[in-house]
Amino acid sequence: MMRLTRSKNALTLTALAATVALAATMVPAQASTDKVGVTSKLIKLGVSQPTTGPASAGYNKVAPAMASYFKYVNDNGGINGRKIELIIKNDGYVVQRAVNESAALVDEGVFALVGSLGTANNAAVAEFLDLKSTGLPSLFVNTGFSGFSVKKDYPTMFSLFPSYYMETKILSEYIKKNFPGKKVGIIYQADDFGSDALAGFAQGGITLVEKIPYASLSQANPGVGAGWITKLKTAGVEVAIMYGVTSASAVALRTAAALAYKPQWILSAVGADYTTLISQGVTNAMIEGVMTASFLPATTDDADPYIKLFKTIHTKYGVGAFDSNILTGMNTAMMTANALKAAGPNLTRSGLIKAIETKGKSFASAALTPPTYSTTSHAGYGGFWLAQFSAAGVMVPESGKYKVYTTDAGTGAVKVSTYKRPAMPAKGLPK
Amino acid sequence: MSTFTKNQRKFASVLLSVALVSFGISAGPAQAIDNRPACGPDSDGVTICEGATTDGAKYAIQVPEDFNGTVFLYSHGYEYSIDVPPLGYSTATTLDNPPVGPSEMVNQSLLAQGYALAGSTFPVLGWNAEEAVKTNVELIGVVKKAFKDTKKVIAWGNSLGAYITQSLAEKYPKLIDGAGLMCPALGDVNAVITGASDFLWGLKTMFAPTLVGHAYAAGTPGLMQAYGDLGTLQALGASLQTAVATELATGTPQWPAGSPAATALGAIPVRSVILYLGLMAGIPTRSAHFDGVSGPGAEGSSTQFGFASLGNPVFAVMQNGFDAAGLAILAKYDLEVKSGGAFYNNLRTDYAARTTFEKSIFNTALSGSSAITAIETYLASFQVPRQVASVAGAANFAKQIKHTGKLSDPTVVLAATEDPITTDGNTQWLVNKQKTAAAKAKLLVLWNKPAASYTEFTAAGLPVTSTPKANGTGHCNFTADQALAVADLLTDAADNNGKLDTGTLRANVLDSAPGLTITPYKGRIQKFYISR
Repeated sequence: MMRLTRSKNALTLTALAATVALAATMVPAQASTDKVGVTSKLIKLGVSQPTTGPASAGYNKVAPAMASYFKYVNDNGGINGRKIELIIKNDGYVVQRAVNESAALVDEGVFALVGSLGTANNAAVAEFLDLKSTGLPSLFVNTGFSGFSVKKDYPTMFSLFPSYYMETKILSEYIKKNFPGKKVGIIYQADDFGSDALAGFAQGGITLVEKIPYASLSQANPGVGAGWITKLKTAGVEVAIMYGVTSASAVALRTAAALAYKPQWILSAVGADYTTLISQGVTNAMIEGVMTASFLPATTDDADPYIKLFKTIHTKYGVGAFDSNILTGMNTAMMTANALKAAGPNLTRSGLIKAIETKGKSFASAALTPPTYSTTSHAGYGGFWLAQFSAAGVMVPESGKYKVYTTDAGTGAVKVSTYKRPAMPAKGLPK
Repeated sequence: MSTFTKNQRKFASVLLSVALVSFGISAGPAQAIDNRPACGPDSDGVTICEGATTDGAKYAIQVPEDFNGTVFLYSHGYEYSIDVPPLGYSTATTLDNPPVGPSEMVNQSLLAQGYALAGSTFPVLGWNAEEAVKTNVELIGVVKKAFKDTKKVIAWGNSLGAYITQSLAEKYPKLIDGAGLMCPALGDVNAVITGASDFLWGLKTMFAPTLVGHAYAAGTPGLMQAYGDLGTLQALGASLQTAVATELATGTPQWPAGSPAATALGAIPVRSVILYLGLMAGIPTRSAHFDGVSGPGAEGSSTQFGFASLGNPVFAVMQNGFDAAGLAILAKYDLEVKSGGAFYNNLRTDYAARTTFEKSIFNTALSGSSAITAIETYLASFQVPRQVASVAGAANFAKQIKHTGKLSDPTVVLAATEDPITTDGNTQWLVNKQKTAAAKAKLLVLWNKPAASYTEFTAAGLPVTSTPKANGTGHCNFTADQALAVADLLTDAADNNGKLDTGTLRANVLDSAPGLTITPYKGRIQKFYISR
């Protein structure tokens, strides 16, 4: 008989035990998570945005502006008697970090995500947090990527911005009408952002004589801006479109000025915040005459009741100068408040989604085009007005007053909108 | 982006270890033998028995004095069927004792609670699911015959051992009362091997044409080819990590000398190409020491942001991918011998279709859509040879056991979300197979997830790779408490008519085994199942 000693073959699993241990998550599997994040007195919301790092310039004002508007709502009684708490997470504009931070928001029991920023970040969060299966709403994402409005792919996600595709269809009409025969070129972020734009210009019938893709973040590399401008100049481009984030717009405008290149510049709506451009070294002289688009009123339009209200709120609850990022944040928060109100006192995630789908078209907001939500589409606003920066950096409507163009997500024509924005509800609070 | 100090060029310590299981034994040919155990006197209150099943596999049984009637039948993971001198691995010197559990600490804990343990070496090394199921069936009979008070059997195992356990559960559900699948390979062995093989093929295609990696020669020449590949892989790993570190410091692509793709793709950073290879193969972008989010320097600094966005996921893919590639070399050699020829086939694989989602979210680190298109165009080019299976190899390989995913017994899975070898897609495959509420109730997945951030840096800003692997990363890198959580849940279910607890016990075991979560998580489907 051979006697075996007790096994000495201890695997090293225990020795390899992780040095970093997560606290066990104690949330049991539930048949329904429809009311997570809602109590009789509180609605807990979460947002993941870059608040630090090179990619945060300007965008780091959006979430605080949302918080300011929610404080204003809370100080005026909340929504159906509930106060709104907004938890802000910093994802640094790094995809994996956005996933981690959004997961942390889920662990903290948020009712919904709102205003999360970035196309890649939102796509990753939707996939890895399985929004489709869990039913977690992700409202009014801070990107114009058209894919997020497709309900079958993103049933709990709602766009807010008009899509990049719509924007470039509208710009196409403007270019054809105002710059006939001119050579048009584009610098674009080589991802879903830029792809949407190219598709829009193609649909709009614009021939781009020079197309210059760049990888996101590469605009900071030495020589990249000069490479862009040299190519545009060499191609004889007279109308230069810069379709990227604001930091890339700044590189293009600064480099063009340095190389004495003076085309008609057109900047994407999300890449044209004046204060951010100035903070990145762009001067008023560089920006004068530059075209862009917007779906919200100009930040300098103090006659607009929404602008006036938002500035008042910002003065009371926020810090720094009012700009388009703050305007975007406030408007996003207002849309959220509308949705929460419309979902009624018996607040559930599924009820919230249904409320936006069925009532979202009539939500009050600062936008000059109405939301287009329906039971089949989660697309946000449907149009833009076009503007030109003055020597003082003010966005001046191309025809002296807001002329809003609208179009669809397909092959439909670009039309002048007949939409008359309703009067702002009392005190700018949801009815 | 030029955001790094010169020091980072010196970074050359990414762990490129090849996954190894540190024990194994080659059993002799099957003989007509008595399979009854020979038991010695009690040792510390435990009766220890040994014997061999009729196929020649050695087995061990440990039974505590206060045996409670439940036996844990353990199936160990993959052991190479050949000596691997470059890795210091020898089948001749592997341990003599059949493993009876995942670790000594786990074994002792279970024995102290009155559970008996059993396990065998199996009759052959390498991929042995077919043989191992037969051995386990026989061993269950041996245990029940020798210890008449045996009432319940819990089968469990690691990696390939989990594959064996699931195979046993599907074929002989009434022989067991519960199944524990730890770091499991599940579904189809081809899916596991294909991911690793795709990465290996990518390395050969882009950087190292001398890698064989496929259709190894018969006999000793083939063995020498495999050894040569291991050496080539190690050298390639070192050169690529230096290249990536230099690229991050200078912003200039650094293709290693002799790279076949350098002419076509030379303007694209090597780091982006490596990341693409990892994404197309389904390699996790978080690894033992690279969390995909951290960078050196102050929060929000360009140095931190640059490394987090462009470097960290690439080093993670390298750390994970070279483990997988090592497996691909040795396991493919083994399985080609077993199958009588090459079985891997990527002739019609559409890698572009397999990365639709990943190239969107990693667009920046991949250097943008234009670079991605160039990489995909190159990989699809007729100038880039694909690898083709032999008729016999493919036919024989197809005979390997595949799972149906049907669960008859309560089943608990312990799976790391960032396992580079048996990726989370294995577990997701099993989850997706459960369509009805009744089927879903039989399965509980304990996901082992890493912390949000864990990459450490030296004062000079270099990543630290000498620390233990982070929880939720690595292959079968779990704690004793986490394994015992599986055991606790299964024994409870076995005592409750096969019903897995959904209340207090579940909460308690999660509380006692940090790192585990049952909150919703969706594993990434293995690329093998996409566009093949």
